[in-house]
Order: sequence, then structure tokens, then C-alpha cells
Amino acid sequence: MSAELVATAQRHLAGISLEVVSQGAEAIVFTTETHPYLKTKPALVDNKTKFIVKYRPPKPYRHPRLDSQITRSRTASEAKLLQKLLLLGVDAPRLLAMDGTNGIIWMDFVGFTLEDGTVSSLKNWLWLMERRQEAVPEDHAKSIALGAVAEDIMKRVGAMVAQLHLEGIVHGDLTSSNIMLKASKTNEVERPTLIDFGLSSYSGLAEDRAVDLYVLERALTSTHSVYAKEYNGFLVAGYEAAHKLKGKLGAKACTETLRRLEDVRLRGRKRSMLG
Amino acid sequence: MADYEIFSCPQFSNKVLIILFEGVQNNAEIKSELLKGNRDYDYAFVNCDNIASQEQVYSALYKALLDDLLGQTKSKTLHSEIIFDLSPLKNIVESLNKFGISSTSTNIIALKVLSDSQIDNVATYVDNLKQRVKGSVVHFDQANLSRFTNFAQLKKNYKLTNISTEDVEELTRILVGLTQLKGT
Ligand SMILES: Nc1ncnc2c1ncn2[C@@H]1O[C@H](COP(=O)(O)OP(=O)(O)O)[C@@H](O)[C@H]1O
Ligand SMILES: [Mg+2]
Repeated sequence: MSAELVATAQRHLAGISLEVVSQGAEAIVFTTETHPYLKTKPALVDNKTKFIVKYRPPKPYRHPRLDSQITRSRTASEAKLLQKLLLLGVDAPRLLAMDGTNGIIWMDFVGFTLEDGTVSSLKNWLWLMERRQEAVPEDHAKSIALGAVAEDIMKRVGAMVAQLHLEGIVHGDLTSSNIMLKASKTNEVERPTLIDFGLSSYSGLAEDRAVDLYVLERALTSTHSVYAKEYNGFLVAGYEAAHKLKGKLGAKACTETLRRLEDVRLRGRKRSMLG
Repeated sequence: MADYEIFSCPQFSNKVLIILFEGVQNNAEIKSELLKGNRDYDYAFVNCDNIASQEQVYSALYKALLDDLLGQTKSKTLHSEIIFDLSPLKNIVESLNKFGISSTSTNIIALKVLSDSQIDNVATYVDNLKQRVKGSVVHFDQANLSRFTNFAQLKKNYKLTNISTEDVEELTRILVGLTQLKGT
């Protein structure tokens, strides 16, 4: 099944060597070292130029005409959002090319390979910090998973989500896999970057912003249960600080969102009690 | 060094001949022959004022070749489609006037889409072009393009007057995105 979809993608992308990195409900994501229209620069030994191809295959259970309309509009909407974020100066992959008809988006590869061989998503990075911590004595423990670097990253994530929200955009699927860490140019600190804008939309509703925060909170709780509380604390601190920079209006929006977040949490708890 | 470039990308069998001219004297003549539909002028002539980088041009070539393959081009010829894809405007004639050749544009990129078999005769197309265009051929590279960019006009035409940067890479990023999203 999957092989068939890969073959279809390959047919639309003749001459491009594709490597699967992820298969989700809606899209297959590939990496490639071939740029769609630039001659690939000579590959450096440890830092090969890589690009992402995100492919939304046809859904056989949908009517073909409706399906192609949906594919086209979701592909275009994600591509447009990448461009919007570029203009706003929000860190995100850069759009390189798009084929709406076949559901294909080309973008920059963001992130790098962590020392345990996994991609530098926030999720994998936090895991790595926690695993490192297990390897050291109790009293040193806190300094790794909850140390200054982790705190700084989580605050930056919060600030980045705030930046998005302040522009009236909600991410729509804000999990810790959809946040990548990018090695900064100077290579000293990692910088968070958002990816996967397939479900993003423009919204001025506190409810939608609160749901973004709640989804991330849930994702952190389920994958990093020991430190989730602290991580979420940093996250909210970064979120709040970024809003305060925007004066009264920013502070007001923030209060509204965080108040709504409490409602959303409560609803979530009730729902899980009902099973 | 060759005075022309052949653009190609893995997805398409068609290739594109690229020649950059400096100080063109007969732009009015070229424009009028184009309007007459003279086949000897069957090239896309692009006004360099609005061009910041090679990547900006390549990105439009990719878009035009892709839409051609998908049967989704919007204008009469693939050459006008290339200019249309370089332009942020919805109107084709207006795009051709602002981004194609005009009486004020003296630095010009000439482009021609060539099939596999035409590529063998590329010298013919190059020679023909050199006869038609009264200007000096210079290498299609960043240094020359940068000499020709008119940032004020570029920003006006792309409605980017609120952006202060003249950083080629930064502008290119935006321009590439605009081209790729054309028609969405
Ligand atoms: N621009 C990118 N740079 C690096 N990795 C990416 C990029 N886009 C996607 N990925 C990888 O592919 C995975 C799936 O992509 P995503 O856009 O999140 O699709 P999905 O909707 O299937 O979750 C991501 O979790 C990430 O590991
Ligand atoms: Mg995802």
C-alpha cells in the first residue's frame, strides 16, 4: 500500500530520488538532496543539503473530483501559510515549489540529526535530555532535563507560538513533533521552528489559541510525564513574556487565552473521566 | 566561458536557453517584432530591472515548465507564461509590459524553451538572437544581475515597498514564494 503511494509520488517527481521520512494520515513526507530547480551544490561531508517533499496522495474513498479539490486547496493553504510566515518573520521552512494538482509541496529541510540519530524535533530533543539525565547521579540530574538550555528552548517555543497567535494565526496541530529545533548559524544554541501547517488557519478566537496550547501541553504530558509540569510552565512563561512586549492589547489577549486554556483543560478532564 | 546557459531540472525534459544582454539599443524594434508575432523573436525577453537573482528566474522557469506539463498554463505561449510567472500581477498584458521588454529596459534576459531535439541546434538559436538583439552579451551570473537590478522599481512592481532590505537572498526568498504561489 505504502509502496504504491511512494511509486505514485515518484511518477510525479521523475528524476528526483526520494526517501520516506514519515507517513501520516494525510501526507507522506520525503527528503531529497535534489533541489527542484537549482543545481545541487556540492554536498559537504557532514552537512548535506536536504529538501522536504510533502505529498498528499489521492484518497480513494472520496469522489475523485471532490478529492482533487480538497488536495489542491489544502496544499495551497499550507504553501501560502509558509509564505505568510516568511513575510511576518516567523521561523518556518521556506516554500520552494508547489504542485497543487498532485498535492506536492517542496520546502527547506529544517533541523539536524541529534546525537542519538533521531531528527531534532522538540519531542526527540527532550527525550535525549531526559535520557542523558538518567545516566548521571541524582543530584546532577536536574541540570540536564530542566537546566538552562531546556528552559530557554521551552520559553522560545512559547514565544514563537505567541508570535503566531499575535498575527491571528493558529497552528491547528501543535504537537512536539511539529516543532523542530534548528542548529543556529553559530552552532551554539538550537532555535525552535514550527512545521506542519496543514491544519493552520486564521482565527481571532481565544478558544482556538487555547486549543493550540492545550494540544502542546497534552503532547508534552504524554511523552515527557516526569517533567511535563515544568516544561509547560516554561512554555507559558515564554508565551506571556512575548505578549507583554506587545503592550496592553497583547497582555489582554494573553489573559483571555490563558483563561480559556483553563476551560479547555477542564473540558478535557471531564471528557477523559467519561471515557 | 560560454556566453549562454542551459537551464534544466530533473523533472522536465524541456530545457531553457538563457542569455543576458547589456545595453540593448533596439528594444523598441524587438517589442514591435514580438507584437507582430515574428518567429525569429520567439523568445521570452525579461526586463532586468525587476530581477534580483538567478534563483528568481529559475523559479519562474520551473513554474512555467511544471504548469506546461500539467496543461495549466494561462497565457498564449510558454514564453509569455514565463514572464507571467515572474510577475505578481493577474493580468497577462500588464505583466508583459512591466516584466517583459519595454522601451526603457536596456538590460535584458532572453529565454527560449528548447525540446531535447532542439538542444542539438542550440547554436542556431544563440546566433539568431545575437543578430536580433543589439547589445552586448554578458555572463548570466549574480554579479551582472546585481548591476542591473533596480530595487526601487522591483519593490514597487512586487508591492514590497514596506520591505527595506536590499539583501538579494532575503528578497529572493520572497520573490520565489510569490512565483510558486501564482494562481493559487
Ligand atoms: N520542513 C521540514 N524539515 C524537516 N523535517 C520535516 C519538515 N517537514 C516535515 N518534516 C518531518 O516529517 C514529519 C511529518 O511532516 P508533517 O508536515 O508534520 O506531516 P503530517 O501532517 O503527516 O504530520 C515531521 O514530523 C518531520 O519529522
Ligand atoms: Mg506533523
